[in-house]
Amino acid sequence: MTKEILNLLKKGLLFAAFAIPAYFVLLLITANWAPDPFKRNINFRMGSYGHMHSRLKEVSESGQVELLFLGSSHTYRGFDTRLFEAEGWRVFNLGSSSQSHLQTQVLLQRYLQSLRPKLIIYEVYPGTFATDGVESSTDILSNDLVDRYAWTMVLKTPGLKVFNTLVPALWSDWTGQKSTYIEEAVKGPDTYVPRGYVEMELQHYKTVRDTSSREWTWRSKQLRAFAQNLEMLKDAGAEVLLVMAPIPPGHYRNYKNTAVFDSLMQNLGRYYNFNDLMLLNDSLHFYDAHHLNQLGVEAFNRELIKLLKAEPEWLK
Amino acid sequence: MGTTFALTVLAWVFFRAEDMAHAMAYLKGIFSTSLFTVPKGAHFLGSAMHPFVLFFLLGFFILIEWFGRKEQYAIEATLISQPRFLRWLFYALLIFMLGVFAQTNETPFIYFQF
Repeated sequence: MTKEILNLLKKGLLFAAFAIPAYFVLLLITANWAPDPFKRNINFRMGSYGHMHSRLKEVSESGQVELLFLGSSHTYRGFDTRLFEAEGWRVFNLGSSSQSHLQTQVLLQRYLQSLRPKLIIYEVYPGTFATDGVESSTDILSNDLVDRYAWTMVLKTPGLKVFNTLVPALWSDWTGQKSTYIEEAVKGPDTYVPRGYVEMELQHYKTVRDTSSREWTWRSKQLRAFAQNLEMLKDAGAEVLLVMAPIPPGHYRNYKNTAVFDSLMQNLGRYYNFNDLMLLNDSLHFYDAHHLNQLGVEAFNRELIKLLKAEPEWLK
Repeated sequence: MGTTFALTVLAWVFFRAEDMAHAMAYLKGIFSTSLFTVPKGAHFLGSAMHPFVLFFLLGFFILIEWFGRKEQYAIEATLISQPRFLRWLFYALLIFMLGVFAQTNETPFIYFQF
């Protein structure tokens, strides 16, 4: 009996020694050459939606800035770097698709020291507190070097998708694919604007009548990461503004517990909810249920610039 | 076997539908000209699995079940007479397919979300 068990264990170990490298090889082949539908749980995409590859390449050579933007696609599609640069400020927009606070943490650990911003606009959309961060983790793994901070992020966002993306991401680091890859600045309706902004060609949101009552929810691991990020920024001596960027009013009004979120943010820092501070129009100023179009971006950024100019000590 | 399967799933439409009108509208949709059009990838953004992949996987597993139909387990005798390397490669491929196609429950990434 014992001999049989030992034999089975031996065979199991031998099979594992064969199957694990085979899994890696199949993963690399699929990630690099299979059509997209066959990559269901592999999210390795260099230069995917949101121009993260271009942004990360640029930020590593950026040098010091005065103003840094952090957050989700509301950030990289909502803060037009050209408008802030026109005011004489050196800026960088480090937003990315579905960026949650776990990924913001990695980006801060990597780039805060070289950027040394005076003021940070930290966009705090409640949805970023509710996400598990998996998709944003795969975005960062696909487009930046896998360093020790990335490993920590992987451990905090475990799952098949993250693991299946990590392997080809490591491979592309070793083979130098990431460093030689050049992303197109114009992709479909999106144009990458230097310093991290992405401009979408002008479209208007066709409002969907949606009156369903909803509530924001949040995960404790995201709240914890957010608090750690604020601590890190405080240690770096930077001023921080927590900003909730506008979303279509028709959708914003559906959320019943926004006051709870506002109160939470007010307790954590200097907070501005632009959904309450500005009057924007669903169709005129937005192109979908989440994002401002260029007209909306300009109106929103004008208001923000006005606020920054009224408090000149923030950027001193 | 195919006829029985097709008739059964068509009959299920009546059990699943809210009322007769709903069931008839459903059947009308199935037998419309859309049956002869090739679906576009964009139609399946955010859906659980692309139908082409679904057909590929269904075909693959039907073949395995068919060739292993006389065994207690479908893959019991698959590649049994082949060298160990090929058999293990086949098992590793099955594990890999689980890893790539398994249902995961993370927050879905909808490009137009945030």
